[in-house]
Amino acid sequence: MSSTHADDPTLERAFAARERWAFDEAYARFSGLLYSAAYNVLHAREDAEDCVHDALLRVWNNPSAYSTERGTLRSFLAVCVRNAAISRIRATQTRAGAQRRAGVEPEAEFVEFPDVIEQSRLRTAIAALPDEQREPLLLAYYGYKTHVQIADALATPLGTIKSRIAQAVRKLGHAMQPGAAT
Amino acid sequence: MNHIDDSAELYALGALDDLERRRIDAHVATCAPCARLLGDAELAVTHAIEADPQYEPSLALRSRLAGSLEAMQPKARRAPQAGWIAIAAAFAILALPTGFLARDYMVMHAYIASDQMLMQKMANGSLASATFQPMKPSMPAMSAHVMYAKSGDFYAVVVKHPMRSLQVAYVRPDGTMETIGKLEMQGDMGVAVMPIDHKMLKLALIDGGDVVAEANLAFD
Repeated sequence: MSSTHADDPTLERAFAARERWAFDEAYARFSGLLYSAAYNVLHAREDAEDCVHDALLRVWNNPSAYSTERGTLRSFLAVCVRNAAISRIRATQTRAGAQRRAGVEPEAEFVEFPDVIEQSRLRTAIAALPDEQREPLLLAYYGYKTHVQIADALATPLGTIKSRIAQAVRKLGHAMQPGAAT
Repeated sequence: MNHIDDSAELYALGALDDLERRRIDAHVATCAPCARLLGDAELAVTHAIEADPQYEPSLALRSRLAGSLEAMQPKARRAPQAGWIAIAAAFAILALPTGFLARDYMVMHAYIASDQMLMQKMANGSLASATFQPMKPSMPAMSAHVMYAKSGDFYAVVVKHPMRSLQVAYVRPDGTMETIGKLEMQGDMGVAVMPIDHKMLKLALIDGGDVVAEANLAFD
């Protein structure tokens, strides 16, 4: 089958089965979202495109990476690319740290805390979270911290941080569902 | 591995390191309930990703992806043995002094032939290898090697005549260890292939909780 009019479940089944047309169609539908997911972390066009390229090829070449049980292909790919971008930025931070320790200045320091929430529904949903859940959520999403780093930064047990982040994400998911009251 | 529980949200949010993420990838590949849990978390985080500023990639990215896919696929169709030869050549160069035989290359090939990216990695020579050293001189001689990508995203451990099915562990810089794979027996060889994206400087072979051998790896 080769169709640019396939519905989402058909596309997802075909992608899971690694039918080539599904790769092309997924790129056509989601490239803006995937590139944005990478760019908003890396803030560099070439790095973001490298990241999308490598992440998509890695997924495509791993037959067990995506299954329809995993949920929507769109969110699977978006998170996959964003996680790949976060790995890159962490590696950059590690290299920069090593260079500083060795007395060498890094070429550029481009890690920044972006001006967060643009969209009102997301802003409202995050604002509605208790402080104890909002803070670790923001450190993870916008600060690219691991849960271990967050637990250290907030001087809070790891299990507590995991639980609070999980609750925050679930609440965010419910609040952002189409039709949900905010 | 246990079910992923709260780690689903950490994964989706990007709050896990590469190694933890790989472990979850491996688990959800065989656990549908956890795959659904992770899918729900990914959907929630995607709402936030969509709320961030949106951009478009250059047109060149589509062509680059198409080119990369084409570069991989025809090789497999036209010359199915080319990958095997590349692997054999790579492993021969890396491991010939230690006595690996052609049959051993075939075992490796059976494990990794389906991975086109890996085949390409092997073909372009971006691999290195290290030998496991027994921890005690009294231990029986054991030929054990790890072949790994210099980029740190792939590791294959091969042990000839293992005493039993050993586990492979990553030895962190602080000395703590984390199990990352288990040898699967292929005739008289144990093989563990681990597509883990993390530069691991030391690996250990574990037998019933005891470290029986260690290998030191080097990266560029």
